[in-house]
Amino acid sequence: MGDPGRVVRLCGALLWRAGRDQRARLVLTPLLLSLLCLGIMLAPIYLPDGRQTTEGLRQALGLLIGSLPEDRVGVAAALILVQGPYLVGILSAVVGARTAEATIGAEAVRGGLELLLAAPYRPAEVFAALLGSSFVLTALAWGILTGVAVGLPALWLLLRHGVSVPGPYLGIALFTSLPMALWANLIALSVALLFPSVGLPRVGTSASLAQFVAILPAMGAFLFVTVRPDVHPATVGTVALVVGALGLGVGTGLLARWFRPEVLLEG
Amino acid sequence: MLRFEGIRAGYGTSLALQDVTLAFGPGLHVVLGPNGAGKTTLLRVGAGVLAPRSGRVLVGDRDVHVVPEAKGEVAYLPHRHGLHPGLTVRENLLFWARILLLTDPHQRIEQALEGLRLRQLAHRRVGTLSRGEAQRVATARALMQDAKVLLLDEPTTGMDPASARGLRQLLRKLARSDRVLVVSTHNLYEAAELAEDVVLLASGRVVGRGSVPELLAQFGGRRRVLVRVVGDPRPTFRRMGVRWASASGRWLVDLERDEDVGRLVRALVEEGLDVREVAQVGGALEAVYFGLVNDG
Repeated sequence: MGDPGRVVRLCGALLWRAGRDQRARLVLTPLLLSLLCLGIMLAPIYLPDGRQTTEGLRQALGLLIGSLPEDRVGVAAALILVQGPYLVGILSAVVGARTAEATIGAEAVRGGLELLLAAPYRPAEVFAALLGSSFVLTALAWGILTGVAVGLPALWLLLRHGVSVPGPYLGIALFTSLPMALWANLIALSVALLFPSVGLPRVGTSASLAQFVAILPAMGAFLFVTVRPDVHPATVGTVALVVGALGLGVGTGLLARWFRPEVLLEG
Repeated sequence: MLRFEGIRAGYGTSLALQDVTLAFGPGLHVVLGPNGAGKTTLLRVGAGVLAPRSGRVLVGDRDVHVVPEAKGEVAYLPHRHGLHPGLTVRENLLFWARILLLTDPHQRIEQALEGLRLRQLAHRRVGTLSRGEAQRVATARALMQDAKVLLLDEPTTGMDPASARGLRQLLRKLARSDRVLVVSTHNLYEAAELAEDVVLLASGRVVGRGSVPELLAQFGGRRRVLVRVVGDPRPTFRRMGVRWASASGRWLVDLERDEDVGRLVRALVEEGLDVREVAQVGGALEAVYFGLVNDG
């Protein structure tokens, strides 16, 4: 693994460069996506048939907190607290994959990784720093997305309308999308580091297998809570969080095991 | 001192270097060879980028593949410059100064900008520079490290002639400052101009080494001449036992000795061919190069 201090210094330099390069985009992209996410969640309550389409989710949230207001506030609460985390998961996954593509993937293509390997670090330290910096950038985007699209609305529901959810579930609702975002980031990283000549096509313009695998967990969880409102949301969230974390851990371990610097130099 | 000891290295199932043992002391060394000879692989192994399958690379007494700090004594300029197009020239240098843990990074950057005549480009994004300008920035990045050993993979690629000449002058100056400079190229003219010591690589093996006069003494004598005649000279070439190739209506002929040029012309004339042009192609180093590489 090498020296953690050197990994942190290298990771810091990579993050410094990402900050210099992407500047406002690092914050603006997830902020705009979180507003889009809020818009998607809140739109149904203003549509004529919105109440019908969200009735299932109200029912699901009712399982968790007993009774809900019958008005639009109840519908909004259901959308934000039941469906919201997974919608955030999908968008975070898209941002996570893009982050890896824009940083490490582009670096591999232009030969920057060769220079990093020539710097006074062990290959394992370079690998850890690349992974770490990419995860930090993804987590930053996720933090903005989940904070704006789930955290702040949950606070608004509590303070303004007295809709209170159990603390453990709020924790699950906030954090269940993090492994989904990091998973997508990891998949894109794996493509960049194990198959650099392939590269990950831009999200939204191609239905590549890698993209599909990257957003599959978030998409699957989102569809599940939508079509199965009878299942307790805490159960869905816990399973998603645990499976996501396990998948992330195993995936990271496999990538570390399979990573060979010479692959980046071929061709 | 940079030493390669029994290096075998490659990618996947292919082996690009086979049992290469070389030592480079202070001065300017040129690694010469055709595409696929193993030049880039040699420099990658020397820079600690590519781990050898066997053997070791020592800078002083430290193996760059065992002691990562030893890589700090080696500055490496790869074929692809690896600079970030979204950052300015100065930001790129600052980034690498951080990565390389350089002391006095700002002073080093200013010196590198000055040395490569880049001060006016310092605030330009690298993505907006020409290939030659970007190559100068990449060279500044390597020189900024102030390392004992510099490994440069075809550093003048993409540079305009004036910049390439400026870089060659800089390399010669650096070589006089007790540094080890190893420059790979497949440009024979550049090699002949730079060379204090030439290593000839072919098919992953060292096929010759020495100064240009030493190589000439050891392997020299072969000449490549261009011949333009009216008629078919191939029966004459066959009878003389020389190798030839057709080139746009003219003929490239490899001869063993200087005096063979006269023999060739006489033979062609005696065959009744109208000899319009006979010219030597390339210099002495080129003759050695083609001889060794073809034999290698």
